[in-house]
Parts: sequence; structure tokens; C-alpha cells
Amino acid sequence: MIDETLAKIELAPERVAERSERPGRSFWRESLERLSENKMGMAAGGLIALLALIAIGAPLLSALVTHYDPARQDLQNNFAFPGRVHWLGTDELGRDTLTRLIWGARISLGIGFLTVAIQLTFGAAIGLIAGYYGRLVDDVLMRVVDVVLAFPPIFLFIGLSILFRPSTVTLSLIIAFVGWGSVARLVRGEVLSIKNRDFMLATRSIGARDVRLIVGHLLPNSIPVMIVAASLALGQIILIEAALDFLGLGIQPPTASWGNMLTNAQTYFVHSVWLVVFPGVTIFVTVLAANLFGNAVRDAFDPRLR
Amino acid sequence: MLAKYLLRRFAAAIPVILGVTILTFLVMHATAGNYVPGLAYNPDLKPADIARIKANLGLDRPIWLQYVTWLGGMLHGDFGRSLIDGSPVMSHILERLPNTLELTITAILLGVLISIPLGVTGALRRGGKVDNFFTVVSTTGFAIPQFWLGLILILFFSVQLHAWGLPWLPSSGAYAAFGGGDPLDRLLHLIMPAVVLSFFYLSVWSRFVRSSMVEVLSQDYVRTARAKGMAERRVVYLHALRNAVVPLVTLVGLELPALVSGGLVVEVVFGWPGIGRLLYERALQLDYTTVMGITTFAALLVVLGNLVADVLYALLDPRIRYS
Repeated sequence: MIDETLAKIELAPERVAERSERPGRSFWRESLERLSENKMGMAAGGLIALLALIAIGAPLLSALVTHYDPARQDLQNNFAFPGRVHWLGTDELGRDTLTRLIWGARISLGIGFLTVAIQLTFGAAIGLIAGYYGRLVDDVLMRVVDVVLAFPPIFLFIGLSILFRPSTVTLSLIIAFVGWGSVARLVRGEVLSIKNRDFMLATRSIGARDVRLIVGHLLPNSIPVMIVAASLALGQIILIEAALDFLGLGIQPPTASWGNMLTNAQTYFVHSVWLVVFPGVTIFVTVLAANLFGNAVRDAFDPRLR
Repeated sequence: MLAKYLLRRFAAAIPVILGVTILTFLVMHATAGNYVPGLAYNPDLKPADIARIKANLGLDRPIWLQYVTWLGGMLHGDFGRSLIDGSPVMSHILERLPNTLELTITAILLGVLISIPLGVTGALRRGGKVDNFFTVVSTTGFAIPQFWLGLILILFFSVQLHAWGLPWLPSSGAYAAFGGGDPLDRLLHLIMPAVVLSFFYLSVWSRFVRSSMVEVLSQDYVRTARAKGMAERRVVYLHALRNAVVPLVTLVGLELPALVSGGLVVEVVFGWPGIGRLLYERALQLDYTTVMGITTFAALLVVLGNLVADVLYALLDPRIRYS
């Protein structure tokens, strides 16, 4: 729903009009060039890349830079104020906030990227099949999408997370279980607009099979829409995952995640404000960067904006 | 023509309703299947007792019959009973729903009332400082975690203001809507959750009103109105605004499903006695039947809501194509 809303908002005619001139370069070159001209978008993308590096290098960073273990308790130094010893302070068990934030990045970004990958793969497959075969196949698959999208997402997330023990993988699957529906709708729409073009007819007339038409022609032509859908989804997924962790239905303590750090912080934030400020700001900045980068990618790649 | 369209719309909703119920039924069946064998670990229960419990719950009958019975119950408003206290799920829903609606409707109204002036001002001063500031506000609203914003508001408006001896806002403890109580106190409890919830809406909608207004202002009829010497104020507020805001109705309509579910996180943070918090608390107690009952109820509301919206559109807008 949010993706659709975003698409509607940004389809204002002023922007479409700006892009009417169309030089004869390849789609990819042109799109990437336009993306690289968007300074804010590139900065946001750079921040996401940096956070991903931090997540990957978490063991190294905590060993060499912060010198703490994310789970090590130090009860004599609990609720330490941010300072030289603990840069961002410690929590109720004396665990170093910065170290836990660094390890938490693995959860947030890991689940974020994994979920995007799952919902994109599954949604695109369903969308391609429904759009290509049409008729009964299309009807059945799209009714299934209607069913999944009829459930209020947050209710479904909570219902599913009490059924399956939440881990990085199950949590990604749970979030993707809702997300694939809108990807499928989007890809199906794209397929419908491509499948009757002349080049498709020509390919079919020289004897190409279904698989070749789908994988060789419809899929590559749907990739721009998929890139846009993926980049707009990342921020929302990180927000949802943090909310589930916060509610105690996602990644469980003692594993540090940005969301579950805030669950505990709620109890102590009257005297230890930093416990609530730092994880919250981290989530906010990450989601902000993901959204800004997503918008930049959409502006550069979305074929509907040409 | 219209009758045929309506009939087709109803027919299209039926498989979705069946799909929703089948999905929740299967999930619930899987969990109830775990519930009863779990009782076998209780040494006080004999195998005969367990068979009796199974028969009482209807679990000894064929699965399709269980589904049909369950579906038939829902037609009579019976959404099952809680695994924890045995009370009907529907009575909980009816008790909590007014509270949730009070919160979400307030938030949506606030969102609409604030987003229109923000969007219009942004469009009129496109590229100016005010416009850029509004852009920052709405970008923030897209990225800020609702639960965190709630915590920060509590920290300031409940904890700090109280500590400074100033008037403060209650962080939780609102009591049931129609269970009596002081309306003013109720209003004080409503302020923070409604503000947090409306922040997201106004971020989305103010952007929409802005781009819609920019589009309308470039239309020929606006130029004509200006050319004939109409006062700018009249052009903007009488002609342009009306046409720019109409599409917002559709966008607000898309949020109707959120009337029931949209406030969950906010309800939890502010202890608001709504349906979302009920679902959340029951989920933590692993009360599967209540969680699934509420979820089914909400999903059916969404399907029916979409149907009603489509029918209303068809009745109100003569331009709609019946295809």
C-alpha cells in the first residue's frame, strides 16, 4: 500500500515533463547516470553501504574499536553515562550500547536485505506466471494475492510470529509473506503491458517456448520495476522488523537488535535517556537513508516516469 | 448495467472471503492440533478425559466438517472462544472496537485537517523555505519508528513536564470509552497517541496534496480564471483547492482497513485499551483462537469495506466504467 501511495504521489506531471527529451543511450547507462547525478540519493546509498560494511565487520569492530563483547555483562558499570570508556553508555546489565548497536545492524540490515530478496523472487515469479498465462491461472493467483493482502499486515505478522519461533530467517519469511503480494501485482501489470508487443510476437513466431519468452524477455523487461519496488521496500521492512523486535515478537534477547534494545530501554529511560535515544536515532537514520536512496532509484529507473 | 456490475463485484468478493477463512482455519487447526496433545503431558488427565476434551472441541470430526461448522458460526457472529478464559472472542472485539475507532478516526481526521493546509502552502511556495521545511517534516514522518516517537513524547510530555512541575500529559491508563469516566481526562489520554498516529498520515497526504495542487495550478482553467482578473485568493481556494483535494478522498479511503489495525503499535506504547493491544496481549499468552478470531474479523471487514467502497463509487460517480 505504501509503495503504491509513493508511486502516486511522485507521478506529478511536472516531473514527467522534465524527462521528455530522450537521448539514444541504453536504458541502464542512462538510469545509472541519472542516479549518480542525484547527490542526496548517492549520499544516502553510501550510508546504507557503510552500515552494511559495519554489519559485516561487527566482530572485527567490536574487537578492535570498541573492545567490548555485545553480550558481556558488567554489573558494576551498569547505566554508565556516555563518555570515554563507553562512548554511547551502557544498559541495565552494563553492556556497551555502541557495541550492541553495531551487532544490531546485522539483524536489521540482514533481515532487510533477505526479506527484499525473498519477496522479490517469489512475487516476480508469481507475477510473471499470472501475467503471461492469463485466464484461469491469472484469476486464481490474483485471488490468492487478494486474500493475503486482505489481512491487516501487523495482525498477520504477530499471528505468524507466535506460530514460528522467530529467527533471522523465519522473521524474513514472515515479513516477505505479506510483501510478495504487491510485488506480484506490480510485475503482473508490467508483463501485461509488454506481452502483446511486436517483439514478443516475433520471438514467438520463430518458435520460442514459454520458458524462453518468460525468462529471456518478460523478466529482463520487468527488472526496472522490480529494482524500484525493492529499493522502496527496504526502509519499510527495517521499520516493521524493529517494531516486531520492540514488541518482543521478533529477535529475542540476549541477541542485540535495534528494536529489542528499546524494549528494555522503556523501563529505564527516566534516568538513562541514552538507552532510548541512540537505538531510535539509529533506526531513524537508517530508514531515512534507505527511503532517500529508494526515491533516487525510483526517479532514475522507473520506466513510468519517462 | 449497474446491477450487473454490483453482482459481479459481489461474486468476486466471495472467493476472497473463502480464501481468508480457509487460511486462518488451517493455521488455527495446526495450532489446536498441538494444544490437545500437549494436555497429555498432564498426569492428572486420563486418555478418556483427553478424548472428551477433543470431542467437546469438535476435533474428532472430519476436517471439512469442522471448517463448515466454524464458517457457519461466523455467519452468526461467532468468532470462536478464547483458549485462555473460554470467553467468546466477539465479546472482546465489541468491547475494544469503539476505543480503537476513537483513536484511529481522530488520527485520520487530524491527518486530513493538517495535511491540506501544509500541502497547499507547499505548492504555492514551491521551492521556497517553507516548502523545503514541509518536505523535511514529511520525509521524517516516513522514516521515524512510531513506537520510538511515542517513547520520546512520553519522555518529554509526561516525565519531564511532570518533573518540572508543569502541566503534563498522561502516558497511559485510559479507561474504556463507554464505561463512564471523565471526557476531559479521556481527551488528555487521547492527545499523544493520536498525534503519533496522525504524523505518518499527514506525511503521506501533505505530499500528495502538494503535488496534486501543483498539477491543478498549471491547468488551463486556472489560467483562464486568472486571465479574467479573478482575485488570486479566489482562484486558489475556490477553484484549484476543490479539484486538488478530491483525489485525496481516494487516498484516505485506502486507509479504511487501518481503522481497525493501524493503531496497534501506538495502542501498545500508550496502553490504549483497543483491539490491537488486545491482539498483542493475547499473542504473548499464546491464545491462538483469540488472535486468529480477531485477525479473521479484521480481514473480513477489509474485504467488505472494499466492496462497499466500490459500490459507493459506482453509485456516486457516473463516469465509472462497469468493466
